[in-house]
Amino acid sequence: MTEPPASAFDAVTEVVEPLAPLAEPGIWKKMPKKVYVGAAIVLLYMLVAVFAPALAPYDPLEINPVDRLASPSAEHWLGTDELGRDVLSRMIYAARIDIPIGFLGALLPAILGTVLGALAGFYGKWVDTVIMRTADVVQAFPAYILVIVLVFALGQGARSIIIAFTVLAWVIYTRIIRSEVLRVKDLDYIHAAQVAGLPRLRILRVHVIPNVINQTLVYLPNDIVFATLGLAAFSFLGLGIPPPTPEWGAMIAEGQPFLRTNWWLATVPGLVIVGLGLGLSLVGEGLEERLRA
Amino acid sequence: MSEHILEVRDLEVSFTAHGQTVTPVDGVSLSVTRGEALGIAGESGSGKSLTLKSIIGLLPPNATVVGDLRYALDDEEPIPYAPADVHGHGISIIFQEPMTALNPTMRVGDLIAEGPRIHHGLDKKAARVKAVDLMRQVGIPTPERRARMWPHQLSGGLRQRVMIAAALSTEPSLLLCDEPTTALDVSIQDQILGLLQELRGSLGMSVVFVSHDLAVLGELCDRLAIMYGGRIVETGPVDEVFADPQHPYTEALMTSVPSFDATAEQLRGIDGRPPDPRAFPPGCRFAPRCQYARDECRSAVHELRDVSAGRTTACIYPELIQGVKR
Repeated sequence: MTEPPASAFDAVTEVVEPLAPLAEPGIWKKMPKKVYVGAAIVLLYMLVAVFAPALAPYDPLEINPVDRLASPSAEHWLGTDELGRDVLSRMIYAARIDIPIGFLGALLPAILGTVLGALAGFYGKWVDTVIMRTADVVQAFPAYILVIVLVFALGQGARSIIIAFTVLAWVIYTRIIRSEVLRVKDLDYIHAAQVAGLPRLRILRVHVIPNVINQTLVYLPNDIVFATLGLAAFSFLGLGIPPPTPEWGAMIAEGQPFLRTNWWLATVPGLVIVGLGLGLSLVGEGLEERLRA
Repeated sequence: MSEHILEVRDLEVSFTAHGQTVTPVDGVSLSVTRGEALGIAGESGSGKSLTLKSIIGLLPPNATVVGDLRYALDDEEPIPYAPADVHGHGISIIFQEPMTALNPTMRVGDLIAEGPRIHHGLDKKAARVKAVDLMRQVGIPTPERRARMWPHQLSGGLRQRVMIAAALSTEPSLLLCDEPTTALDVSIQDQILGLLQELRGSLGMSVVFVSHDLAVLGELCDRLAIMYGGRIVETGPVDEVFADPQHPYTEALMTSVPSFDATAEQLRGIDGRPPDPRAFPPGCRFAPRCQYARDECRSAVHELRDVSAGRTTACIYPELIQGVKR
């Protein structure tokens, strides 16, 4: 990853004298260690999601009434739930639900919010007014009510959750990016691009956005944590992914009645969510150290 | 073919905030002939930078600009223009701070290639070659290699050269310079001035150079305009202005340039403070700080008038000026 992106100038380098190798700035150089640690954790979760069918010992949906609420054993490492389903298999398959929804539920609002924030800050005037007043309205609207309304309108499931997150979460990106654009917009290199007669949209795309996008990148990992937690919370409340699909938040809810006897049913999914959150937070914190320095 | 490439008449730049209007540029008129280098000198807040920026439309959106700006493209007569008309076509600008004047997320070669790609319809490869040529032209060693570098990998002097190359990439006939040497150390300053001088000769560009540094202006410019309190107080050929200032402010400016012979105690400033644009003094704006001021100065109408061929002054008693004493 230390290789710089190929430059348009690679073709023109008929350098005569040999020089010391170029010291490329390499954004990946000097990344704090915690970024690698966090990324390793997140990667592990992703691998589990991808290879779930190979890793899971049982079918996560297979009901076995004879073997209900079994304790952990060699056969069922994390025991079984009240319907006799293998908890480990359900945990593994749940990664295929929670991780994509968590990432999409943060990535879509990040893209939407960054674009809207850049437009608002760069064009100002009525564009700014319309976007920022809309942001005020969204922010003033109670989040849980909106999700409940969406779930009733669109039906329960991943689609509603992702739409709800996108509708709600773009506001923070828009505010961050807009204020950054307002700062960058007055720098000399933007003025120079203007005087060079470059089209407005090109100035925004090539000269403004690349210089503000790091703000989005820094916030994104934290937002993925929020989205994952949000999904778990909605599922816990019965607004998220409908049963019998395995999902960590729903598993916590299902395990809750048995906290006294089979405490691991609710605790293990909780710890797994914490682990993912930790990995993402480490990445976010490391990126912040590097990009906001 | 008209002699003038740029004409500015009665330029006023004002800002209104909290119901109060300030006019930091208050009736500036100037002209630049083809191939000429005009220097605008003045202290901070004299309005020199705002004057320069209004030529190219880089004022903040809350500024109000009044005045007649004319620019001559090709061999035509100067005609009124909107700043957007000359962006990329005729006028370029270079800035003071090489740190903030280059996009940090772009390789410098790509940055220089942008203008030619957009305006001259060059394809990617031809624009690259053009960028490397421009870099060679502004004296950047091993331009093929440096074209691939990022701005932060270059020294201040090289960044300034990159900025000049980018400004030249749209083939301007008028180059505006907003104190481009102020942030550089003296030896680099000299190189950049030499480069600008050379480019001016080889490309036949006109230059408007804004600076507070009289020595820099003296080296590069043919003609000087001295600004004070939002107005031009004196104009003339550089040598004549230096040898025989016709305005007390010019004289005071030159006296306050430190020389090698002077000891610390002998350094002279100008008494008083620069005028506050929210409350310019009536009459001649320099009168409160002027050692020659008489009562009439405080009610004198500010008007540049000819004193000799090619020289104007706003002072009503230029004969009182004793000349620069060192």
